[in-house]
Amino acid sequence: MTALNDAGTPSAPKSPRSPGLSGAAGPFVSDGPMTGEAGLTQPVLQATDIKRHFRIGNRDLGVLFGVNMDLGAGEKLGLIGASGAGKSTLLHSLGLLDRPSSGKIIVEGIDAWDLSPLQRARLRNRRIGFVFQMYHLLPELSAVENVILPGMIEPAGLLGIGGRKRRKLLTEKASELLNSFGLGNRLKHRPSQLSGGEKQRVSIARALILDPPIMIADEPTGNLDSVTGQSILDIIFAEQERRLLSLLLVTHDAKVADRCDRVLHMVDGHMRMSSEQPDNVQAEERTDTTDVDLKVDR
Amino acid sequence: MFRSFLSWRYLTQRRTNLIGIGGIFVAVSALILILSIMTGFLNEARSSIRGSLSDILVQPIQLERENRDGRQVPAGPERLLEIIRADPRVDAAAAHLVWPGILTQDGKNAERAKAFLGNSQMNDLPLVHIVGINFEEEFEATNFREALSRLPTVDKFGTPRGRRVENTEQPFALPSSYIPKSPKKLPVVLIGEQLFSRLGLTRGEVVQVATIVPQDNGKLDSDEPNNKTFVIGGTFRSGENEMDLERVYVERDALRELIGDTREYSEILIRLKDYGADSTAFRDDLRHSMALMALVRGFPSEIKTWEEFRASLLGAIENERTLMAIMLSLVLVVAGFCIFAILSMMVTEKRRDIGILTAIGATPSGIMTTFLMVAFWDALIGIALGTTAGIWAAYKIDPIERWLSDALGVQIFNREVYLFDHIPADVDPFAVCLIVSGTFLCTLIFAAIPAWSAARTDPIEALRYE
Repeated sequence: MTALNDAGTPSAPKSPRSPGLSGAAGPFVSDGPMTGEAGLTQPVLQATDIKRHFRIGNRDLGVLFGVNMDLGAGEKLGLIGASGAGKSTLLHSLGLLDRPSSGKIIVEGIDAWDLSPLQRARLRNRRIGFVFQMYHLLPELSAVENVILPGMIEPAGLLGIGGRKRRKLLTEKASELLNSFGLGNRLKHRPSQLSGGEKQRVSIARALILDPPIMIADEPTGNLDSVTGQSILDIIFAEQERRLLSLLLVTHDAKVADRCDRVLHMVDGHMRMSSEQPDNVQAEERTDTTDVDLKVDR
Repeated sequence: MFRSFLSWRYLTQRRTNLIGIGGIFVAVSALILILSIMTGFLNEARSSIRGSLSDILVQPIQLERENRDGRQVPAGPERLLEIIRADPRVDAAAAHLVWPGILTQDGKNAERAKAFLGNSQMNDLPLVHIVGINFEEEFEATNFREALSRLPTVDKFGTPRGRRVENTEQPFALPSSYIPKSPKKLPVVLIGEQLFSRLGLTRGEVVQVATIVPQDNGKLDSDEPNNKTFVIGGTFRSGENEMDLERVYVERDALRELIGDTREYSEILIRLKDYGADSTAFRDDLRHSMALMALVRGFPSEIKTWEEFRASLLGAIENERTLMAIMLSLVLVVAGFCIFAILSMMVTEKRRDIGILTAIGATPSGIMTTFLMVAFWDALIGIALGTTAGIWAAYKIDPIERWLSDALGVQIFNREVYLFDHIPADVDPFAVCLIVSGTFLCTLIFAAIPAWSAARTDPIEALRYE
């Protein structure tokens, strides 16, 4: 495992590949490790045998049943699945917000749940950018303040500079980012004064402000009309290309998933891979795909 | 960095915080104002009592006796005074001869004076302590000069309650308004301002002072009371209600003439150079030396500091102050509950924010600190405003009271009852520091519960919260 430096940041992404992840699993797997093209990408985010069940009264409700997956460096990975398939639960586990009942989440070679809560929070802050379907902006803050918020949380300070100077630098960077997203005239606007598309652009800028290597986008177009949604996806994919981000994109829409390098299909808490993405994954289809082995790479 | 930034934003964007700030403001300002007034009352009472009593009071019960004209009579105070004054810790000492008496008037006021004597509702008004003094000694040992010089208070019609003596340095000189009816020179009596006002006396008027003197065997053999006519030389105002109502001063020789050889002095008042440092040691030394030198016989003398003599009165005011502080502290607790309610509401409303902050890397302790800081800002602003207002009101209490009395049509502070021409208020810095730190502590304790609950919020649940 890679050691954390003083600031809680991995020294280098020297993540060892798990056995069988470098394409050794073959083209067809069932609930096995879902990996990208062997040798082309280094996994920056790995889930190994993730299980998650919740206790509701006396009942044990399983949601994830031994999910394996990895996200290579600079890879665009689509995650598709019907409502209730366990996408969000997996995403929360991958985003270090929810501890799985068993299994490991490896971020850049580090077992995230072996870290202290503070180190995990730092890892989440610096290495993972979140984009939510509901934008999740703080209503009291302006667009630019929302964007700089992750930078304000980071305790060590951007460039080691503290206080006001750090905030000034962050604000300059956030303004540039928002300008590049076409929100130059909206910097001081509150979320309530922005449209859905604008809010999502602010949300993307917030996810990118600390230049994290990983971006997790949870149905970023789910609340938007198709035209606006398309422009949001354009921004996400453009930034991914430009920054060589490892992108995990959760979506319902097969057309959106089409733009990814690889697509994982989640069904009833199990991971499947699909070369042919259905236009829309319907609940009734889930049973059909559950036990079908799918081609690994598209 | 985000804690102070976000907490300040939460504070300024949410008007409910004004209620919390307002609660703290009211509690702190009221506490400071009331405690300042109570401290003012206590200090004023202490200064007036101390001024009249001096520092140490000696009250012998049985005096040594000396032979005078072949008779054994109680000795005078000179020898004791000499011993006391020889002590380097003593600044001044004065002897008092105290005897009870009744004031009556003759001539056109006789009927009224008799009516006063028979009026059950007048209580002990015409019954007084006649205090025989040597005014020069008295000036040194007590604040008698100040009591004579103080401007009289005025009643609700603006009429002065007293008439000061014409010459403070010669208080027992006959006033110019006195018209002698016989060649016999009459002694002068100085009357407490309250008594003077209640009996409707005038300066230069003649009053009868009557008393009864028991014989050595304790029997009242005399058929007629001892009485003597005095001319009112003026009034004094000690500041202590009881004293100004029940006390008259005459020259010691004049009182001795009234009561015969029964007693030369009743008490000795001692002013020390450094009361704070020497009071207890000097009191104990004096007890010892008086016993050794047999200056008094039989019963032990009462030798106490002025605080010991008035312990019950001072204790009552002190108790009242403590009681007020405790009662008003409850207002602080109410303000604390107010902060608790506001913050709990904020934590519930901000659940989604808590989830977002966790998702972007905030730690539970960071989230807890954010909400604690909202309470901190509430407390800081409330305390700053409350302290300023409380201190300002303590210094401006008189105009505020007058304005409020005029506005409400009710006399809020009855100066006739308390005998102060102003509302005394002394800001005690220690009490202010205690109030400020107590308020901070109280606010943060009450805020800790919702802040802790915010820190324990499940981010997944919080992100789903709408």
